[in-house]
Amino acid sequence: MTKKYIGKRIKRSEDPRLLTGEALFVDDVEIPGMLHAAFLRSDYAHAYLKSIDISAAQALEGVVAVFTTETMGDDWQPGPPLVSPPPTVEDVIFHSRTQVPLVKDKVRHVGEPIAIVIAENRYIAEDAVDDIVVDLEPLDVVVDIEKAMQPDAPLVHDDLDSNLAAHIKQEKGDYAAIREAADLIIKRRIVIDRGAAAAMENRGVVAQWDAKSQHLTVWDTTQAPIPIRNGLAARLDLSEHQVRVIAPFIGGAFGPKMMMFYPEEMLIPWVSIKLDRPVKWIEDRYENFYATTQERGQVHDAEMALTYDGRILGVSDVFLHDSGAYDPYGLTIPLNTQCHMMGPYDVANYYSESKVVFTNKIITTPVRGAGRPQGIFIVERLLDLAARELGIDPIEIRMRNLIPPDAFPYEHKIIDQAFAPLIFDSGNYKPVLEKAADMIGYDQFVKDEQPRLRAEGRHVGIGIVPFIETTGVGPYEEPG
Amino acid sequence: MKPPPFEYYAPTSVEEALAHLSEHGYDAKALAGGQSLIPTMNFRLAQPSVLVDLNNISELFFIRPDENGGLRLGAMTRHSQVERSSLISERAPLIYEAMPKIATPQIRSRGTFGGSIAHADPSAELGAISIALGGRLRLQNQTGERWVPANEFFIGMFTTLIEPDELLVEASFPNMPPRTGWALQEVARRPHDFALVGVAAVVTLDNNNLCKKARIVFLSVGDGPVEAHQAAEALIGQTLTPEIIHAAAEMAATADIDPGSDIHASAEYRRSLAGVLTRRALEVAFKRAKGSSKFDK
Amino acid sequence: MRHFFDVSVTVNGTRYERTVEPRLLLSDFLRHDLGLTGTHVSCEHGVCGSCTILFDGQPVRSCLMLAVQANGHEILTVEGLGTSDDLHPLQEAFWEAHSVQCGFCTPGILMTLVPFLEENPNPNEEEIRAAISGNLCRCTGYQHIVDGVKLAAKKMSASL
Repeated sequence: MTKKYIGKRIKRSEDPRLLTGEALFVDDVEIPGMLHAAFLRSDYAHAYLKSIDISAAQALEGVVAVFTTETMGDDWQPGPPLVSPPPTVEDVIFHSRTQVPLVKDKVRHVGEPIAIVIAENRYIAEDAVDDIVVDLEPLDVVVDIEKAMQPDAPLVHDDLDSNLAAHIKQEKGDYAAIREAADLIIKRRIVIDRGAAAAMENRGVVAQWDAKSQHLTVWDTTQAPIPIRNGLAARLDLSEHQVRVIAPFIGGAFGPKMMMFYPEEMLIPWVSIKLDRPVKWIEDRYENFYATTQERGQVHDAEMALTYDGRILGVSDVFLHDSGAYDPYGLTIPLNTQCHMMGPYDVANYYSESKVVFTNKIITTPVRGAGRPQGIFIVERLLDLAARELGIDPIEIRMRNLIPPDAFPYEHKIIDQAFAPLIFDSGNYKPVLEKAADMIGYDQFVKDEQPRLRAEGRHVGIGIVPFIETTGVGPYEEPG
Repeated sequence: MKPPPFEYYAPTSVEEALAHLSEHGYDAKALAGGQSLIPTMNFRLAQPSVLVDLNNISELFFIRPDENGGLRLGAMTRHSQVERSSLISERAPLIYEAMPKIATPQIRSRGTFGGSIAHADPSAELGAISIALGGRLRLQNQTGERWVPANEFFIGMFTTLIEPDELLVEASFPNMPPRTGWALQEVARRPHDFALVGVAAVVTLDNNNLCKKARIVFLSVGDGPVEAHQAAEALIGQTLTPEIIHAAAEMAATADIDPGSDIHASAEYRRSLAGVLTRRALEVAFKRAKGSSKFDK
Repeated sequence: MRHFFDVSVTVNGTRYERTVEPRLLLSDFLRHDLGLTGTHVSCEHGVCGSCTILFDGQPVRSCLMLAVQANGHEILTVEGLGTSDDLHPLQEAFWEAHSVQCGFCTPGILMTLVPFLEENPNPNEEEIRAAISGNLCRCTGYQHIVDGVKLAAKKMSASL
């Protein structure tokens, strides 16, 4: 007798451990002889590091070691990048700049680590951090992404001649031409704010080097232990079988805990090997707010060209994307935004231009959506505005533009985050939208409830947004 | 975020506590509920070298009636005790009403009445309420004690009259005269957040329903509690019709306060809120004063 | 010159004697000195509620207390509420109502709810939300947590 599970309520098997406090999170790891780390981080967003005096910190009782870029010697190296750099493609400019384990000559965002203290406990480590004397020469700061692109803007990376990290253009058809033929142009400037994921559990790393067996064990609040294992092995000159990365229970992640090779992720294992002691670093909430990655900051000048009966002739968008101080995550996020700005619609003409901008802020990496929500928001917003202008019901206008089922596989003729052609393999969108509208009682609300509420002086709205999420990121194995 | 090192004392009497405070002066901080002090120490924003823990001084924990119909509260009385006290609900219902608005249940388990008053956060309800109720505060040091009326107690942002060698030991509230009504109105983004603007109002009517006494005190519009003197004056001798109340509320918002702008709210928004909340508070207080209900929500 | 203080505290029914620095936070004491890692630390400044424990029966933020202050007192942490084989009805209800996702905020919420349900055996939704207003959750959006509390209230009154 087979048991049917689909559609049934199933209790999770991990819940009893979580409910009774028996689940292991990284900060729960206790190893005899374990030392604790704390970082000296920059209070300035942009500054030259002139000098640093760690002698008082080193002398504090309970402090085992203090490391700076200088004392790390040849072991100091930037990066690595988190995704493969973009291939050399026409219309793509990309300047790769990756984060560093400790600041070398210049601080590029508040919270960037300058020194690491290793002590018997975190309390003493923080005392020692206070005893480090650092001389930072503050520089003008660039925070606003539009201002960052002005010719006189302070440069985040002195070896570049602007704060342009990347520039990508993608085109399909001829938007400029179709624009002339349009019955209606909807044009908007849309500003999307940067935000943090702020998971309940802050980040943390525990590393234990066993010199006898030449084996490194790392507990890491990571969403992706295997790339961390591979990256650490490469960086520390070990074979992959010598490194084990454990991702135990994790207290929320939402993107920023993914294969980041954060400075701390690289440093703590290195320190453990260097001192031949287990080492723990747990991020506190301060650090979480300025040293854990964020996302979303973009400014769009977007346009949609339509016919009188609501058919989208084309979409055009020029946007700035805030990268923060470095760009180890390549073009993933802006490409995702570009790929979602046509939504699930049949759009024959598309122009998208993205400038990725360096700013003096913590780097942006995917947080819940990885650039897709921005694209979706914009296309749907423009459509809603068009619906209002044209007097067409918002759902109806979407129905008129959805990719029809016989058009799949639908080739968008632009590239996605894996630098592969964006193709929607299959779909049947109309029934989905119809069913959603039906399930929330859309028609009845719009015809009966909404007018009734408005007569009472209450403004109550309803919205439906269909979206397609690009997944199945390459590279792919291909037959033959 | 761990606190820096400090010397720690846990006296069991006021006398002992005062001896420590006297010895260490500005280097020492009294630890009451810790709900405001310990976070600032964890941030290392406050780094007192000496902490005098008041939590073992049983003589500071009490809620007592006084013979005049009022009541007296020990400075270490926890918010959670005040929240559940029938004596407070009878004799100082304005305080009782404020309790659920103060932070969250966990904070109220440890936070204390005296701690809140002494910390003097401009957004604190209890400071404004103490003034509205005509409360007095008893300060003690090694040489003696003094009573300070609540409306003289707060002298700046997070600053009170308490001297380094003094301890706030008690708050006393007079009997609420008959035909007295009260109300607390505030707006916060979430119920337990710091108020963007709040106002406490207490009115007393004579036998002809004319207002013979009024106090309107704001929180979150300045460096400390701000009393709306002109608006309160305007109510004396009047029947509190909606028009009179509305005019007084407008006066309070425009003439009695000068709120600032910050990341939470602009000055204009605060002013606008102040007007609306004062009107509502006076309406509720008036209704209560007329005796139409014992305890409106 | 660091000073140390003796602490004698009963946690989940067991008496512990330790010597601690006065600045040691109660949250760290429970987690690292006593090895009771069920209580979690998330903000260390009293706004998130993850570190909530019962101190003499009252819900408090353990990150805002010093270990020395626990001397002579009684503490209940999530480990004292139930075990995987013997869950407290509140834990069972949370399991059934899918009130848990990452689980990091969960112990703090459970400990907040224990005295709340004792005092309010039949709470409405508004009361429940006010009770957990001092606990942040970044995963669930709170709705299933509220459902879990309602279910727990039913279970606990049924067993009376």
